[in-house]
Amino acid sequence: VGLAGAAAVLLLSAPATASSATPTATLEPEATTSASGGLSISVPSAVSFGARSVGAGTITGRLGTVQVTTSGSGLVGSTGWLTKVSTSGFRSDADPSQLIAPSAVSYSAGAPTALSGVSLSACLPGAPAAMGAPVTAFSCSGLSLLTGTSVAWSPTVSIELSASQTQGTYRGTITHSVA
Amino acid sequence: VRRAASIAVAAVLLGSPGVAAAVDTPVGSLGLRLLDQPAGYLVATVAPGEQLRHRVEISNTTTQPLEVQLYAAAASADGPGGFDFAPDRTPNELSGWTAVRPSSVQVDAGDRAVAEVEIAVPESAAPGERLAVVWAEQAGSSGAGLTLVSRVGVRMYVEVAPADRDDELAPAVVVAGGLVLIAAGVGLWSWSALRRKPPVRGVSRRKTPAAQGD
Repeated sequence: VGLAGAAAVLLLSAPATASSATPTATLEPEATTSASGGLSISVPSAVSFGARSVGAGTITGRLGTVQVTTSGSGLVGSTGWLTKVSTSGFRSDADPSQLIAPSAVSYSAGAPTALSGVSLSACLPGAPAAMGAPVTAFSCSGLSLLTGTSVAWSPTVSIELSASQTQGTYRGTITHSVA
Repeated sequence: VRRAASIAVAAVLLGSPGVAAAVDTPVGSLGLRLLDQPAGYLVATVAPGEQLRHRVEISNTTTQPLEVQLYAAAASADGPGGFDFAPDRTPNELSGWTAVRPSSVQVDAGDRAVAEVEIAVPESAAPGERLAVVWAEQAGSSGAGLTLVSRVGVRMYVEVAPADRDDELAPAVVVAGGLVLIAAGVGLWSWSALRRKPPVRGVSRRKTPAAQGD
């Protein structure tokens, strides 16, 4: 691995990627509430966990804010939602046989970073877990349909690298699903 | 090695909690809702052979067009909140009965699109509740190491009612009615047979003198 040690696992795709979350801040808030009685989830940009030298260890990074919004329909009632997260794992561009398995990728939702129209007791983060199977990120119950609600969190993902992982750019997908 | 390591640190710092909270609070979102219905979930009771039609609206509040896939996939009542959904496009009975048209749509920035959800319950469907989700899935931007995909769904709770009573009763009514008719017929016949006995004797009595008269 010699010189490869200097090369990157999970190559940094330039700081521009990280800052690409900025333009989305120009969103008009009213646009989010337009889907009355509906559910929506934030659409984050692609992110990168940066580079790391080859060798066993853990890469930890944040995915940026995930936000789930419900909008009131004007009718009294209650409802809830469940957000789960899953991953494809990460595969090396250079050598597709090199895979970081989904079970080596852990997800931690952490505490909500923003709540509106809903009490903390109604919405709970899932326990941090490896994503060998889909993991509960957050769930809310007993939400009023009368008013809009919004819950945001900033999940942390850690990827466990084995010593046998070779150099290269590893690509993968993490999917947030809310229903 | 040192250089790579420092780049990594920079990247992680960009995503550190303080920075993240300040930078990306309002992200654009992918929304989905049922049209023509006040409830957020699609709840229905249907008979086998029946069809349901609903419309869903997909909204894009981001500043870029979104390529959205639309489909139904499995869910169950097993979760801690009485609801859980399966990963990806895992099928189940209800998702198999459900067609979402179109199956993909491009929604421009700040725009909306409407799709039709058609549930065709087969005649052979057994009674009971079925759960599934109609999903709108945004493809996610690739190029960087990690692609983030978002999908939002409308829950479906479809109760298949026992087969229509009229249909079920019809053969029974015919059979029962037939039996009643047969019983009545038999009763009438035996009654009239009993009543007919004396006249038969009378005839024979009358016949005897007539025969004698011959």
